[in-house]
Amino acid sequence: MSATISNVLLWSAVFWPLLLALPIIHTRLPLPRYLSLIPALLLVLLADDVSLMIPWLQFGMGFAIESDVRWVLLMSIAVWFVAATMINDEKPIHHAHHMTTLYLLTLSGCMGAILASDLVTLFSFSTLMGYAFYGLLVYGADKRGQRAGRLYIISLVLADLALFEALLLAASASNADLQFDVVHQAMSEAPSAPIYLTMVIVAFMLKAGIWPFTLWLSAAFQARPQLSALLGSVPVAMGLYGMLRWLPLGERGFDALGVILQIIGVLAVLYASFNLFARMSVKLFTIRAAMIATGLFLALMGSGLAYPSIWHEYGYLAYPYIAVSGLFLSMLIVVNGALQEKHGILGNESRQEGCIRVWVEAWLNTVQQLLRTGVSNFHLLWQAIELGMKKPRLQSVDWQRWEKILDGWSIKITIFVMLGLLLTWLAS
Amino acid sequence: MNWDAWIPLLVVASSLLPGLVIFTLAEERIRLRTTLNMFGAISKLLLVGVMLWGVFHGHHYETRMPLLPDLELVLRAGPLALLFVSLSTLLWLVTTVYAIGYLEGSPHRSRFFGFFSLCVTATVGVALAGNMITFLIFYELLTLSTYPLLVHRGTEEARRAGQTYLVYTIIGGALLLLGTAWLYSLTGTLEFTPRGFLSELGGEHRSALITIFILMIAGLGVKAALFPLHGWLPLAMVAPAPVSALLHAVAVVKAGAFGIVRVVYDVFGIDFASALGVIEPLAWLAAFTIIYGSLRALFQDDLKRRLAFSTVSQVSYIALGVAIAGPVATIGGVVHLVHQGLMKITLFFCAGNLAETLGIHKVSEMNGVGRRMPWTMAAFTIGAFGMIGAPPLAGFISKWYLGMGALEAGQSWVVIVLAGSSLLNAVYFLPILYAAWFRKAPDSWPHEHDFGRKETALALLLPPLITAALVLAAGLLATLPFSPLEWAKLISVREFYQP
Repeated sequence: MSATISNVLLWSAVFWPLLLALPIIHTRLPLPRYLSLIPALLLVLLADDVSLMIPWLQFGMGFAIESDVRWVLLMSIAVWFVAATMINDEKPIHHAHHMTTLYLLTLSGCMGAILASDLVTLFSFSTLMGYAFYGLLVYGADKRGQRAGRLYIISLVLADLALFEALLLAASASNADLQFDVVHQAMSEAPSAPIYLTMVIVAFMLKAGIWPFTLWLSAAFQARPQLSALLGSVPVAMGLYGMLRWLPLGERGFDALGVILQIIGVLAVLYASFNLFARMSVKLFTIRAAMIATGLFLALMGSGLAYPSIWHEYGYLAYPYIAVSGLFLSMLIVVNGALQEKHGILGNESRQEGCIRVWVEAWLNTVQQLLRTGVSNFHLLWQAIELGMKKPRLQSVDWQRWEKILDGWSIKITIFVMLGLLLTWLAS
Repeated sequence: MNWDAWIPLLVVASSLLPGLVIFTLAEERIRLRTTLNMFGAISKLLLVGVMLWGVFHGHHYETRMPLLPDLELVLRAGPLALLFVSLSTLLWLVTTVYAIGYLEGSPHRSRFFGFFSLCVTATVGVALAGNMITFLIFYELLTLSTYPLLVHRGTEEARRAGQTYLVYTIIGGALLLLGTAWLYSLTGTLEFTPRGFLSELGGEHRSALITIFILMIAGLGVKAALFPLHGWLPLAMVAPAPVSALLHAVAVVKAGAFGIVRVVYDVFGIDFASALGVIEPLAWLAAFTIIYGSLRALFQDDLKRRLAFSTVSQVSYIALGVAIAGPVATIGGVVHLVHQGLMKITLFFCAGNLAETLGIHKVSEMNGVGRRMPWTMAAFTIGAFGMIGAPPLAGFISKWYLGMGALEAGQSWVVIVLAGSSLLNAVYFLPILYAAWFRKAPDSWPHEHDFGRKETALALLLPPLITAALVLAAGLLATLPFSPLEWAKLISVREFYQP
């Protein structure tokens, strides 16, 4: 594909959802949430590795698509697609419009953050993503959702402040050239590096809800089932991705900080694992899984900071890890939520705790059903899309139909679980 | 005088003459009054556009008229002056449209618009002043022309606020006059000069110069609402919304902050002021005011009062940028002069819309208002996020340069102040946005006016939308030629690098 078309796709992947976010546009288009994903999908599948600099935007915004980034982008597109289906078109209609606006703003922020080629661009788009996601979290929410929103916004504001300070330190050390590579090199030699690293790590731990800052994530997991798919990929995976992009990994050994991160990461994994087996709870399963995934990542980051040589050898796996864990978490949450709904676990408070057995059985049943129906389930998905395309403006997805689609998606979940296992094996 | 010498005078006259005519108009001459207002505002904007183009291409615009023996009335259009003139001229046009809509049907409109024009005349005079005496004349004219606007409603509360305002500003003016007269007796000149005109005095009059600096900053600090001279500003929120917008974003507060920039750069000179040891205390005072204003804003339920304390905090960023005494921080401080104006006027317009349309005056009454007035609240949201410093809005650019400048000058503590202030801004703005967008609206509003299918009158809705778009543009397109940031860079280069 020519560089020009690749550049157009790169530009569109970020700004097309932003344009669609205007209510005056998206209310006049069919399926705007799906339409918004098309440029990103084409970009990840067809475009060459290109970079784009927009010098007149802010301090000069840069975007790039590289092989590493494709993993994360692909994961995001998949999850956003699921989320587009899950966010029901509520009544009255203006509620649905508002949800779509917030969805599209969050998506644009997410795409911009993934494709950013410098720190300011990533910061700007992740801020947009964070505030818009807060809107998704609290719009029409009950008290639990509002509490989750409050906790999230506190984390977000504190994280953004820490990142802003870190950004200033980076700009000061790199003569205001904030391209990732330049900053990594500058910060590995700067005297302010320990402060920078601490701020960046704490900020992204807050954003991603990494242990011990899991309060908002726990609350959010339980509060908004409609958004559960996004929780895994937007704040969590993007928090991990941000950490990966900002830290000067493989440049110079930061022994003490690296070891501290490793300890925190391992503690997070142990804490979550212990909790998982001590209290068999379906409701808390996904949270513990998220804690394990993020804790492992933190430990990996610690290794990268402490031992640059190891990072040079294995660092490339970090991107697939984010992609797989983001997708895995999202799918786990979605399937878990759907199965809980199907088996009445959520509706029956007395059965919520200690019923991991039911959940496992339910999962196995789904897999069996999946094997029986096989590839034909994909047809249901296609039908759902066709049905949606025929309807002007807002379509409503009823729960039964969604469940059928979900069955189709289980193949992918299984594939990605296997891929995750494969990667873990490779990494070991 | 050639054409270039006439333009600064014409810029001042373009609001003065329509203002004087408007005073004489009967109340019912609505169309003529509106025409005169708009003619004045648009012609001023065009003239400022000509000057901007000219100064960018090296033209020199200066008007000199004899005033007293050895003292002239000087109007000069340098980069710093033009930055402020452009801001006040542009915002005057928008505020005029807003005021026409806001005051529709209310009494004493000719009086209001007459003083309104005089107020802008004085502001432009302050901006274009080429020496301290010209500055002082227009500075006092500003006090006198804003007082009638402040007490326009004629209520007891308004009169009390007006009285407080007069006491503060007249004392401030007296201190400034004292400092100016003393300075003149020492130097024999009051001409604004790049990098100041006092360095030649050396250490000879050190104590006197420190006292003069304190007198001048105290005099200017009243209008700039520096702590502890800010007491009049929260009381002044009783004024009608267009006046509040004018006070907080275009005229009074900005004139004070602009005056501080002038005194530090063009009277004392940044290097000489640093050598005198007066800059660092100014930085601390500004930093304290930033935090103090934000803390006070947290506890205000009255929306305009919350915004007023926010102004106390935000305007001190300008003084802080100047007092950090470095080229990058100067960019941050000077550009915030414009950015704060755009953001704050947006917020005040929106507050006015809420009051006029739904009778909402308090934060606690704003539940669900975003669904009733989405455009107004969208503009408010942009203004509020700008104040917090969220990228890519205008406030982010200011804070970025202030923070960078502080690190460059080795004053890392400023970065902590910026973070603290941003945090407090978030704490007092985000609950408003949450209430407006995500809380359930009440069954009825305090005092709702019916505007049919529209959320409010077009004349009230357009101004905040325009200024909100400018907040976005000032951040997103910050590096384009003629942007406030580029002008601020030009000013900084002139102050720090040009021989």
